[in-house]
Amino acid sequence: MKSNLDFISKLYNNRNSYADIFTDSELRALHIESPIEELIIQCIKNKKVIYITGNPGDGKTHLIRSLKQIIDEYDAYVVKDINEIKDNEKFLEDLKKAIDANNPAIIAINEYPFIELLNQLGERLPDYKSIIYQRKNSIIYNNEVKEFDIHNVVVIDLNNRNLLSPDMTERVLSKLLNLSNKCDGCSSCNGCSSLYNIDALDNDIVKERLLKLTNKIGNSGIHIVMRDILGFFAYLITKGKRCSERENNESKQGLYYDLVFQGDNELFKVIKQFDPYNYTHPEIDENLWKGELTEGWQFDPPEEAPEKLNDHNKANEVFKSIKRKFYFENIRGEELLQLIPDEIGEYYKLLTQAYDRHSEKIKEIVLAINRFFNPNDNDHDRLKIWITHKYELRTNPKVAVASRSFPLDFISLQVPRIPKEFKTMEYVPDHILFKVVNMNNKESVDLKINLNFYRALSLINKGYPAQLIPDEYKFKLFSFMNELASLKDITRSNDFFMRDIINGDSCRVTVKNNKYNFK
Amino acid sequence: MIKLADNRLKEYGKEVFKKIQYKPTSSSIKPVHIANGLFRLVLGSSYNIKPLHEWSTIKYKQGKEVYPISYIIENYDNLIDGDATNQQISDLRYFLEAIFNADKGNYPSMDYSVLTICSKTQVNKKVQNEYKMPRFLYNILSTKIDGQVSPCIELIKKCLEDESDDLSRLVSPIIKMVKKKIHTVEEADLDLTGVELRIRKAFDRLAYNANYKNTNKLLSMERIILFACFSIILHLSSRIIDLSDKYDNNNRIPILFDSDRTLAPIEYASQETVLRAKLGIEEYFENELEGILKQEGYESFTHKEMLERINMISIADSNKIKNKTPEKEKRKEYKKLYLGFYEQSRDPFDAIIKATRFKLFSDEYSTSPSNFMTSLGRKIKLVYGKNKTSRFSPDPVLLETILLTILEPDNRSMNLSEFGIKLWNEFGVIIGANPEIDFENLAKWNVSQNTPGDLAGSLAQNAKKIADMYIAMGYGKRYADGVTILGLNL
Repeated sequence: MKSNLDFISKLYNNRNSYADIFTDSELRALHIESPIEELIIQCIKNKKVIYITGNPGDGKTHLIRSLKQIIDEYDAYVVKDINEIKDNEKFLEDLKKAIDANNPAIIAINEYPFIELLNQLGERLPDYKSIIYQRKNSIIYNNEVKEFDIHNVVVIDLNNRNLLSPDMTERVLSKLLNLSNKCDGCSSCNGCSSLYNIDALDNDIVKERLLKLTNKIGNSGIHIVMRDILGFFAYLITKGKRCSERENNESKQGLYYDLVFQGDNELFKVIKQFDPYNYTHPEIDENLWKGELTEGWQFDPPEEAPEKLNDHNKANEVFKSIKRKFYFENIRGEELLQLIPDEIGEYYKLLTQAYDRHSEKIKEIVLAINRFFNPNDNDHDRLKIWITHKYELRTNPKVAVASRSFPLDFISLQVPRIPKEFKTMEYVPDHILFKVVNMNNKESVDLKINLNFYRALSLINKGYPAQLIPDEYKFKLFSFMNELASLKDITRSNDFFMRDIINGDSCRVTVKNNKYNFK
Repeated sequence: MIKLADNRLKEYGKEVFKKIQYKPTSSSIKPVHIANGLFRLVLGSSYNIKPLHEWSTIKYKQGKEVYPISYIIENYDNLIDGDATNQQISDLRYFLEAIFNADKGNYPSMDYSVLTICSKTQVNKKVQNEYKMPRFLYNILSTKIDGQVSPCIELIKKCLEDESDDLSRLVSPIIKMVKKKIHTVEEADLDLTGVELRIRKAFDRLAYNANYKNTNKLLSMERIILFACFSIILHLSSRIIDLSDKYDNNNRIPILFDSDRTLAPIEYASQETVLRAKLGIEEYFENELEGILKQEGYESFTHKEMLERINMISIADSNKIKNKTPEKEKRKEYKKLYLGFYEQSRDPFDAIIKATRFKLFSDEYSTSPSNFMTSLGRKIKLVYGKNKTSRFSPDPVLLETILLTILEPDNRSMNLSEFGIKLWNEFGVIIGANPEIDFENLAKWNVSQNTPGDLAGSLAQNAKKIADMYIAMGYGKRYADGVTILGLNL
């Protein structure tokens, strides 16, 4: 099916459910196959009860629609939206009937209503304990092995599905480009920016550069749903406007390389941090400014040289646009990607190479935490536990004291992954756990580190003043210290290091035989 | 027979505070004073803090250091190993002062000093600045409910007995020298009702939730004292609801939490709730004063008799006060106040209650109870801003503590709306989690009348911002369908 661009434009930020605004044939046309469908098909064939949980926009209803044939074939009991069920007792009765009749069941339920349902029905819900266990262990870490009993019931949590994997985003983009019949029903194609956008986005280099950006977001911890991705690409093609709304004179105002950083949904919000305009490359910048970079373009080089414009603001806007175009369309555009701050690149490496660089990365984080409390600290072999204490909140504690520490043997870095039973689901880790385990009694304390927290720690490592990092990370580090201090039987010494947080003064003293020793 | 004292008005005030159970008339009362008193009552003992007080007090009196280095070396030579220099000893003392006087409760005289307590040996005897508040709190905690005192008592004992924390270990040579003094402390047997019962149950929940996550003892003690201060503010401002027939017991005095001071309607409405809380304190005081004056027959006085009473009552300043105001002048002001209130109500008894309360609050106390509320509120970062701009804008640490006093041990999570309802029912706190209900509750107290902008809309934004804080602290999770869950171990 080829559709006109008005159809594509409706995908951007439409407040209504897609099921309400698109016909069945349009929805079928929009369907993008993913490995998760095969998992569900197998479950249906094995007559299991399947709970598909997640958040609105995760595509639960759409997934069920796409499986209509097999659902009908196996006479599965289907609940497309648990909110439509007013009576939980009736639901329970119908579910039990389906199970007794040896029919599969497939229930789409948002995460919070699922929690409420579990609370209300408790163990009366068939396989309740298995559901609870699967929910609790939907993510595991490193080499952890969890035994899942998915004989009767399977909980598929679409929250864990990361749709920004390169493979999935490419499929979505290709699908929309394939659906974009750029001339059908349009009388003003000649000046329409969508024409250019469709051709450019189909270009291998442009596509690769764009998908590199979306892939980086996949690791950032932001939950992006299918609706956001469809909306994102739809906006890049149409600026979210119907053909009649896009006028000829807008041709230069709706070009995809600008639109990437102008739209409004969760994906747009995050991708703004990768705007090439923010990354300075003296040689490239100068040549683009002067209009002297004329080689290596996939399409026409920029028409204007910002330097020649009299209006400074306009020149700046033109330069911004040219630089974006350069990233996507010039053979050297990749060089701008290399300029993304080290800590972001390092974080991605950490997620993908944590096992290989385990010890090195632990040391790096240990040093950052030590430096948060004492910027002069160069010790990356022991994690110090800093204690503060005060009853009045009006001012912060002036002094922190450390006498205990954890050696590196007690610390591990754990990367999340999906249990083997669900490994076909698209998953990209979005955080790491910095885990401290007391070897004596196996008590542990975790510090969850996402991209932004990692960036803050990296900055501290480089000497950025700890006072300037966001409050939420300060709070996390203080809470982490408090939890560490509560671990029993940890390594402690009689050497005390005191530090004045405000003026940086410090003092060391040893308590030995009930005496103070300063040596 | 009326007993005439130097200042009969102050006598009335004292009797009112006996009924209130504590005396909130000083801005010098700090959380650490409440800690010292409560911990002493829970332990049933105090310690001679002299050695640590001397080590950690670097103060000057009449240009001379109270405890110079020579004094320390002379008296504590046995605690210093080898050839420590004076500078090294001074450096250590600098840090000991920063740690054990972190709350600025240490004065040259040990009799007035309280240390920032880490464990039992830093608990001093009773000091003036406690103003009976610890006893009030201890009464609530030690009253048996279903045959049990509050688990908070056991938690406090456990924390204080544990001397394994770094700060206690750091001063172990010094505190080895301290002596213990046993006190007889009676458990209370009160009939807890209204806000007092709710405070007690909140303390119980705080204790149950304290050990849920790995929490170190210092943090547990900080949270208990933080909530103790919040409790006093709450009790003072809203006890009137339990006592006066004017109010329905199910109603609450509103305390609107301003999330981040960026929403003008919330800021304004929160300021109004501070004023409302102050009015609650005044009404509470007047309610107790009414009972006392009734006993002295004031209720039956005619307007003329009341003026005669004012003429004969003794209201002279104590001889201890410098720059005394002549009694004649004070009486004139008192009479003027009475006449002003009488003009409004034409009720001599009502007018004398109000005039007496007003005179006491404005002239007789260094800090009135309503100003005490904002003063203590600032110390626990509950109140932000000064004078007319004071509003309830709690620090994340206080928000964290309040959450731990709300969550039930058998169900340690709830959605934001349920949290909002619990906050209102338990403390009268409004965050905007249920904008329509919250707006109505504010409107009932006329808080919404003059608020600029869209208060109802801002309430929802305010709740979202508070939820964001909880999420950032690891106590919340937001689902895409707009539901936010708050709790432990999410």
